[in-house]
Amino acid sequence: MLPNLTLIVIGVVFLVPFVWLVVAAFQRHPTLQLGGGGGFTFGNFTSVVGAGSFRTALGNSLYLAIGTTVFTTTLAIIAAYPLSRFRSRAQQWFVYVLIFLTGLPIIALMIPAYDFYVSANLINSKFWTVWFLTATSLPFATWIGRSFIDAVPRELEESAWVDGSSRWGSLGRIVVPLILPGISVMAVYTFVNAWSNFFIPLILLQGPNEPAAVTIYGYFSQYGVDYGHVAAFALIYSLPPVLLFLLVSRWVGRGFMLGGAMKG
Amino acid sequence: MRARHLTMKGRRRLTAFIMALPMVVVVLVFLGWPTIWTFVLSFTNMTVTGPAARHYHFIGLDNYRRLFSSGSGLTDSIRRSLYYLVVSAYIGQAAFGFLLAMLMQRCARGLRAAVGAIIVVAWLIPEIVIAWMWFVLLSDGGTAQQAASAAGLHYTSWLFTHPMLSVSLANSWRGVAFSYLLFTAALNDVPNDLIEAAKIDGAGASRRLFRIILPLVSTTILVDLVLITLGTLNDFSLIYAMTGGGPGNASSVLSVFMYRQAFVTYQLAFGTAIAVVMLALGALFAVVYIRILRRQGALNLAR
Repeated sequence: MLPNLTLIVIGVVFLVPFVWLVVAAFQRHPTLQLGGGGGFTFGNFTSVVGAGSFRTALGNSLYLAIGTTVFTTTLAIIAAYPLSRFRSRAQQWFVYVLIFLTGLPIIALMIPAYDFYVSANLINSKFWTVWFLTATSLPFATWIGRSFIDAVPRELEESAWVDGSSRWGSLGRIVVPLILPGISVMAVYTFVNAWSNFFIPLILLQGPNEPAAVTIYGYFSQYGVDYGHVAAFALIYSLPPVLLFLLVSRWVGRGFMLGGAMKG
Repeated sequence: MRARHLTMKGRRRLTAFIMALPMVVVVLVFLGWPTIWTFVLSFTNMTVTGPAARHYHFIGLDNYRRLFSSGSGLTDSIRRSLYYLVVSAYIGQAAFGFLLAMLMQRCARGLRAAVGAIIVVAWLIPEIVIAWMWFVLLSDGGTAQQAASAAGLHYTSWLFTHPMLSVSLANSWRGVAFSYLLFTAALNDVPNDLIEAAKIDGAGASRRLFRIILPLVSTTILVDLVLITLGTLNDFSLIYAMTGGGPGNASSVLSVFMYRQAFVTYQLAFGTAIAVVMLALGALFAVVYIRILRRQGALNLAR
């Protein structure tokens, strides 16, 4: 009984930070305190969904997340293939460098990255921000991609080679379909990271190109903010990572998701 | 025959090279180049960027001399980063996550699923939303103050009085799920017969923990510690959004210290010198991580 009670207390304490956000999102005139706030409403959600600025911010987040996911998964799978299939000294070093890059403090690169983006006139471009995000997620994606491909028996490919298929052909027609669960984990991981990233767009994007993370940051220091709108907006913005995790963990199993996370 | 073998090997190498090339180019351009430039710029006096910034020149070790002289803020920032690492990552995430995983094993299934879900959701939602939630909870006029005054207590925003503790609490809350999930998976792999046999032999709970369970999950603990160390040392968003590094410099960890020097006071070159320190720390822990993985055999070549 004692373990159960302890866990209930922990669970309730963990819920505390969520309370304000969820309550305020459904109140007419919420303040930073609970209670008051003028009655239940869905109005915050309808006005947020209707407001151009919120829609633009969410659209920008979606652009960054989808773009990064598409580029990262494609390039990572193609690069992971030779890493898994061809054996050489160079390949071993490649793996070390990949893991090393996984631990690289990206925030420490933001000064020269900013300078580079300003000098090359790439600053404030969503497209080029996608490429920066892609570069930051590629080492990890390639590294777990290799372990997915390792699990595909080489013999399955050999029959295709006998039939005249190239490496590219067997990768596309045999390996990729077999590692789809792994690719989906990689894609969700990349999407969630790009969707949530704050400091890269904070430095590389401004104004109408800002994603939701940067828009929400703007409310921290702003007076006269409609807290109901912010709360509703934050809830909508928080939903995709949670839904994607649920969806993929149902499909591939939670243990599998974790295996990917642990290798990184 | 031999010549043919060589050409085949050559062709395979070419294919491997072509396949890895796009990824390598992207990483080199967007990560490799900035890494090199971080070092180069740290020896210059660059301030603003853009056309005007082309006038910077090399000033040798001046940035480093300034950075390592007393009063630069470097040692204080490192001290705060270490506090954040120990309190939020090692205590709040790893130790608490381990206790949580142990506790959950003895709890009812439904309850376990419910609390597990809350913890994982906290881990999944975007950092900036977490920062906002904790900002509202702890700020003046926020929910914590409301609760305190209802209980007849005086409350001044912890964001002012205990900024490092505030951000550490938020980071523990946000990140405990990762350690908890890793430890749950590892604990599930501990054979039950082993525990039962120890029980029959009269080993108490603490003996079972230290002699059987901990040795069996030690690799997981090590991997977890290295991964959260890398993540926590490089963390910027949560702290910067919640406190901005303040009040004053009270919560200015290394990453925030660097950001403020570079993008608030526009001493870009001085900021890159701080970045070099961060890169060195990151490299150190990445090497530790590679060594652990190597010992585990996780890096062995497949086939």
